[in-house]
Amino acid sequence: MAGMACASAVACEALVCRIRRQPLSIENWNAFYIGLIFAMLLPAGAPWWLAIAGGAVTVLLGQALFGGLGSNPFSAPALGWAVCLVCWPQFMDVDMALASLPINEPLTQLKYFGVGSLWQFDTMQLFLGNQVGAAGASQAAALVLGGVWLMSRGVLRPFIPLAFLVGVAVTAGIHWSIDPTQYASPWFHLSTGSVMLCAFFLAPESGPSPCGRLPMILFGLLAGAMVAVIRIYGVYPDGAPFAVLLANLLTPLLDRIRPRPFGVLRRNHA
Amino acid sequence: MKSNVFSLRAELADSIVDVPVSNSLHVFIGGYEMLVKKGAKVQRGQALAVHPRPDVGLANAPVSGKVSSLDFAYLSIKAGKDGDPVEPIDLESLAPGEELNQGLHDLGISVGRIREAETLVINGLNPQPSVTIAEQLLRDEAETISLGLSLVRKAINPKRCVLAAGTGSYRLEGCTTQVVKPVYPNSLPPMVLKAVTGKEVPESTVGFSVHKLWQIGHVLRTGRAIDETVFTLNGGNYRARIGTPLVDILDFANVEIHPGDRLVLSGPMTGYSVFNVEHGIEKNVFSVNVVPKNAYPPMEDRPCINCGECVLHCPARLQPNLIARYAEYGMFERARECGLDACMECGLCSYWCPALRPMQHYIGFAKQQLHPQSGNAPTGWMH
Ligand code: SF4
Ligand code: SF4
Repeated sequence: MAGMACASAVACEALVCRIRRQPLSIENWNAFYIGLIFAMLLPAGAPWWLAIAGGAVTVLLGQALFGGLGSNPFSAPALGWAVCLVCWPQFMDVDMALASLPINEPLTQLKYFGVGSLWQFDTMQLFLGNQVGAAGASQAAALVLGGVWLMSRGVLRPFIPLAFLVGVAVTAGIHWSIDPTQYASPWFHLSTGSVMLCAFFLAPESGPSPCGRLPMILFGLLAGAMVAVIRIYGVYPDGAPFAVLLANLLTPLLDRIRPRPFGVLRRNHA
Repeated sequence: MKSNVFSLRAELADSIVDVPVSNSLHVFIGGYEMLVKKGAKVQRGQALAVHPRPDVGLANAPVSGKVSSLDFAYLSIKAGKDGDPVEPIDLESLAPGEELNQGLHDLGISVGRIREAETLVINGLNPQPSVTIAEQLLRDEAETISLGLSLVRKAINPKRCVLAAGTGSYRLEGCTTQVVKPVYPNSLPPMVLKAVTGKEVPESTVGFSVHKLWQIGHVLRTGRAIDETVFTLNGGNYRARIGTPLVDILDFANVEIHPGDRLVLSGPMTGYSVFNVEHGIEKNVFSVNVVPKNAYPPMEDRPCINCGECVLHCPARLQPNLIARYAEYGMFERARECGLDACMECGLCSYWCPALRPMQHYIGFAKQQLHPQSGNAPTGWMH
């Protein structure tokens, strides 16, 4: 299924390059990458046509429409996910898709049955990926490993991912410390749903995230806080990709935070 | 991880090696107004051309001989016999101010920053990674530098004199030594001035490189116009007449070049490529680098992917991505509003850009469009 999403994404990218008479840009692996990330957000039992449609939306609506890699105002995989979720909610519902399994999706349990129902999960097991969830997003430990590897190689800047995790943990932690019987612990929030995927792969996507140290950190904190807020007050069990999309909206604003250039007097810096 | 690439520390060569005088020298005179014609006989030190900007020094003949060809960029001299030597100028006897500056100007030294100031900063850091000429001069040519410093001090009359160096082991008479971490871009003039004064816009402060002090010391001793430069090539340091064709220098130093390699003058980060191996070395050039064909992926006309690497590495705290985009689409005023004038042209944004955008070119283009009159001034390293 991931293969189908990627194939669809790459095919669309090739088509767009053809229409625009631009040199073929699939060899930079970007279309493949966003197709793959999109596929990781799908529930494991999703139908094949959903993967193909979603992959196409991710590339066409998420990126190509705005001018390609780096010009997209929204995280492309998150956009593909959101479109699919709104159009075909019955197929995107992780709990429904895998209803035949004996274990439950932790976030749906939290949403509809409250904190009291969480006795059935062991946070460590959740973190290691022993949970029901989207195809790749629920493998928290593996995603952290991948993210840390990318950071150690200098491919990924740590500002956004770490700020994102801090944002989730702090917002969830504040609620939890107010009333642990009503709100789940920050550890539970961090290890479920697509938080890790969003922290290390969706939020830091280059186009829709700000540049500069301070804007990056604020962006991560805001997106992370939104995850917890959507989960606690919103209608969706897992709001992580939505949180990223919302934070993307703030990027142009955050990009206006500019330090004083070298040698320019404070009073002359607008 | 990659930061050691930017270290300014390197082993010094045993000594500065003299490159023999070539038969034919090519003096770069782009932007100058000519004083001599093709076929004229010239004497070593004779004035050849003046720059329209009065603070830029004259171009003088590095050898005696005959002007064999002349176009908009190069004046070639075929070396010949010496005739009557040009009258030497005794700089010591000139009064500081107009008179001394005129003397220096006539000897080929640019005098833009020679004026009274309270603080005098000598930049003794190696200017760029892989270039060692500054420390080599401090070690081997301390006498000439001190001579130049004494004259500069007379002209500037500073209360405080500071040598900025990568280690505390270098001293100059009458200067306190201040250690600056020897990592690029700390060697750039604005960064050095800030390290010494603590201010980004220091008042009444001027800075000179040791290369410039060496030039001044050299003309002070000989009384003859500047006709040599010292530079780093491939880990060694050399001295050559101005106008020596690069190919002769490379042959002498046994450095091979291949089709597709690039010849970069004045440092791998901020320097410029020349298109002709016959290019004559200019007086402010402090290094010659041969960049192999496949050392770096070529720059391309690709869109910015908004990754922010350039923003994170810019020492001037700018948003090079925005500036380059404005420059690309001809919106130069907007580029200025983004702080273009604070850019030190350090080249770090070009170095880090994963989209391989020619950042420095866009920035230089915008600057040139906004200040066309400064376009042709010979650039250098705190010269
Ligand atoms: S060259 Fe680039 S990195 Fe360097 S100061 Fe200018 S804008 Fe900043
Ligand atoms: S480093 Fe290059 S691609 Fe990245 S933001 Fe700067 S200009 Fe754009």
